[in-house]
Amino acid sequence: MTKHNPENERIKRKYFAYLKEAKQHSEPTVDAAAKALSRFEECNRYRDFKAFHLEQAIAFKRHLAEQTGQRSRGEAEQGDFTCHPDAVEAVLFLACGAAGV
Amino acid sequence: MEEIASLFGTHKNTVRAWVKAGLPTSDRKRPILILGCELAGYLKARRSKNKRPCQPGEIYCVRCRAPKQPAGDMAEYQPITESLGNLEGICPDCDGMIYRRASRARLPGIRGKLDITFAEAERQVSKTDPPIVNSDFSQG
Repeated sequence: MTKHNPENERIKRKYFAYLKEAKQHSEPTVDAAAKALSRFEECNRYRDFKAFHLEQAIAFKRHLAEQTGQRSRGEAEQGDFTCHPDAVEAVLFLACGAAGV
Repeated sequence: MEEIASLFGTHKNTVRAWVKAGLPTSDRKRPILILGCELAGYLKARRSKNKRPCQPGEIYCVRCRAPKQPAGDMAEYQPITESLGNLEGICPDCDGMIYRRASRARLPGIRGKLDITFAEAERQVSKTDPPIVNSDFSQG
């Protein structure tokens, strides 16, 4: 079973460098974005970011809603709902740029 | 690669040597990317490979660089303090002395099949006074 997609790793690295250097985000913020992206990829079965389709984003949101929060025990955590799609959206812009779409 | 080198405070050639020795990279393209989880796993495996913990009844031989069963399954316990001491034995392969620091309370767990003798007597037959270093004075 694949655990990573090499092309995606390169795009993610570019995005983290952008967050750290241009946006001057701190390490925990960059880590949070990394977590969101790794969750998206896991849900997505490590498909190429360049082969993104709208349905994948909808499936990811549904997947997040099904998850039970570890702290709240039972309901999905609200923070994940707002932060995760934001990070995914941002990195998809980068992927589109890389693909020339 | 440079990022890993700066993270660990090593030279980038060290990281290149790790890759040559089997650290997996993300793909074959440049710049070479290494996944964090794979790097952590590689370094952990590398560290644990060098550790050779002694099983009960074994003493580490520094010459042979391996834990050994002392020759004849015999060892002698030399107390240093009341609770602490050294297990002394002879290496079956290189005939050198091998030592293992052992607490007296934990000795039953460490002993295994070993036949341990306890050195109760003093090492020297008679005690001598320590020589006076300050010899310039006629009276110490």
